[in-house]
Amino acid sequence: MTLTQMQVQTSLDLSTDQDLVVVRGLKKYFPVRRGLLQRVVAWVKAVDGVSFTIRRGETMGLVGESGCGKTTVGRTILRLIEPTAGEVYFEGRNIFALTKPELKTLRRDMQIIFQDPYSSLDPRMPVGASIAEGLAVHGIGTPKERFEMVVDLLRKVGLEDYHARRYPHEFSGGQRQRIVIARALALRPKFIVCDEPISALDVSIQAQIINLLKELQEEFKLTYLFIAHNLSVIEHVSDRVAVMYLGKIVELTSREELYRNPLHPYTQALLSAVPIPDPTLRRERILLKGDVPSPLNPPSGCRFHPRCPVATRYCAQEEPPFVNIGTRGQEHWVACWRVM
Amino acid sequence: MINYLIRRLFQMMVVILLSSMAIYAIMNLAPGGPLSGINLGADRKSRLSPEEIRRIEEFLGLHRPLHWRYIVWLLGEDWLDEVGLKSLQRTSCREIPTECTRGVIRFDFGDSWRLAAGQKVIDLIWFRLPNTLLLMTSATLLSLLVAIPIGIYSAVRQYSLLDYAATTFAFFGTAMPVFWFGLMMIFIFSGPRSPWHQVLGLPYLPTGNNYSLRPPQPGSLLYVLGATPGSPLDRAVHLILPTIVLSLLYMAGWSRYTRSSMLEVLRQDYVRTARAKGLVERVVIMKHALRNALIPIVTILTLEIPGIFSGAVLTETIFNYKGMGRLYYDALQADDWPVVMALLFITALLVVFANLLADILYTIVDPRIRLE
Repeated sequence: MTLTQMQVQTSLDLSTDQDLVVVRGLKKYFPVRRGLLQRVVAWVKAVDGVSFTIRRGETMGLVGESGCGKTTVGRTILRLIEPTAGEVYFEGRNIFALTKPELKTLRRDMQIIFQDPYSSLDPRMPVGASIAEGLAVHGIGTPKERFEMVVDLLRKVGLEDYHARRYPHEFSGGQRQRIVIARALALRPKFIVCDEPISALDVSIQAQIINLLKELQEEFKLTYLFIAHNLSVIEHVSDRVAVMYLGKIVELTSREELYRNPLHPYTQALLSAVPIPDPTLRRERILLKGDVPSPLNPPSGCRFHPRCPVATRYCAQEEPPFVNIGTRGQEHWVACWRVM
Repeated sequence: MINYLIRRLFQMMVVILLSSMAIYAIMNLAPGGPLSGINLGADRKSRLSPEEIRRIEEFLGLHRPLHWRYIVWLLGEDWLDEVGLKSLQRTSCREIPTECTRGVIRFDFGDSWRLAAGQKVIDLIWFRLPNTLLLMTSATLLSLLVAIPIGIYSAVRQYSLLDYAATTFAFFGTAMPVFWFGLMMIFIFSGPRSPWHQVLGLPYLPTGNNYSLRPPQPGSLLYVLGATPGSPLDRAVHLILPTIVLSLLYMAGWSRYTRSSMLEVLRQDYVRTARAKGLVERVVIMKHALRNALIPIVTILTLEIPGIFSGAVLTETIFNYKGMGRLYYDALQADDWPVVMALLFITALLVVFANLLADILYTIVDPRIRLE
């Protein structure tokens, strides 16, 4: 395959009816303002050209270090923040081109679960009111019907009906995350962005919440974008996994393929850092040198090259394209000169 | 809750007792006093003899030793003859038992020495209080009405042009001394020779006082409105300038409090959640953000209550407004200790109660807080 052929394929024209969400060339730059007049002196390239698709009913895992832009991707897809460039299609409609009333209607179909269950519920609202508010906004049901729906949702996530009258501070972290899930489910969405939904919870609670999310996915035919930094969790929940580094996706493939045959050196390093629950097993650790570079001024060429154990001089000059080098029926996208 | 209140009331009593000691000590241990300059500049003939001074002291109660002065101020002097300390009573109390003071503890602050010699201090305060309440509530309300919207806007559109304008205005408001700004306002807007009237030809405002003593002059706002001296309209016009000066000062603070409190809340995930639910931005700001941002504001507002009663010393003095602040200033000038101590003590009481009220209110506005 020549380089031109590979670049043609990077435009990701593979979207089919299977795809619920199609993300194309998504960019989000945050301005850095300085001085008396608050002029923009630089741009933080939090997300810098990301393309992927999420299929109906699947869980797409998005993994990467802190600050690599995972959360920004999740929030921009829902248009909770406006993008700098790119397109996101939800069921074939470009959500960045929607008017406000159209967007409001679409909000029913896409919801989000935040990382911190302590700050994602309004402390001055009883949780029942918090859950019912979304229903009221979209004019669903009478107040009495809405209350019944709330009770129903609370039971679904493993809480009791009398919890509806309580305030968020009266619950534990795990219970709150259940409430947040009930809140997100209230509008019967098709797609939920789970932004590190278990990172703030006790390890003992994490499994409960993951299992709850999985059960609900089956019951309501949900599609998840599951953002996490824990590779073991991602392996447990995802159908496909995308690995992000410094605002870009460096590798994207099915879970089995990624964990069996990681191609990108960054993915390999990440996987080698996952602890194995067997003290007798020894494994070669790939230790990355240095820190994650600043997204203010990302390295030239391949962004990973300053820390890459196998980088060549060419890697510093030209940015590798994001290409599918998998076989038919087994896609495997990667952005690395050394793999091609 | 009941336990908490009982404990708090006990603590409050201790604090009030300690502050009464401090108030008393400040006034009575400071050099000077009402009799210090009594013979200054007097010639041989009019000079008061030590006996005469002693008589004045006995008349005012200053002949008592320091600790007894405090005890009598606190508990009154009507019981002194029963314990054989008749000599510690004032002359008038010895002669007419109904003239005896009954002490701060029974809300008797004694008689004024100089400002309104012989009048009860408490009557003096009751007379002034409505004026101060009127000025302070109108200034507080006006400032809140303007400052909270400004604060919300500044937070929602942080670093916008209007935010910078509001910030500049707030710093100007806090930095500028009231005695200077008040005088400037009088200079510009008050009196027939003000530029407001001379240059722009607009009706001028009164320079001070609570109400007019004479019928309004042609060219004044009072004349234009046809306000008769002493009428509510007349009083309202006299309130305009002091209210503006005071509320500008308050606005500066309130808008900053609101701004920082809103900024804090707007960063929370539940604000994002509200947007994700599909709520329109106005509802997100007003219902979810503002309601939470106002929690600390309510506390600060409650702690302003003592100020509403004790008045604004500088503003009232500049505008010759007959309120509590002006009373305090005049009493200090005149060495009228009973009045000064009464005002200080009442303020101390109000501060302590306002703190309790703030804590109780906090539990009402913030469901997370419980008093144990």
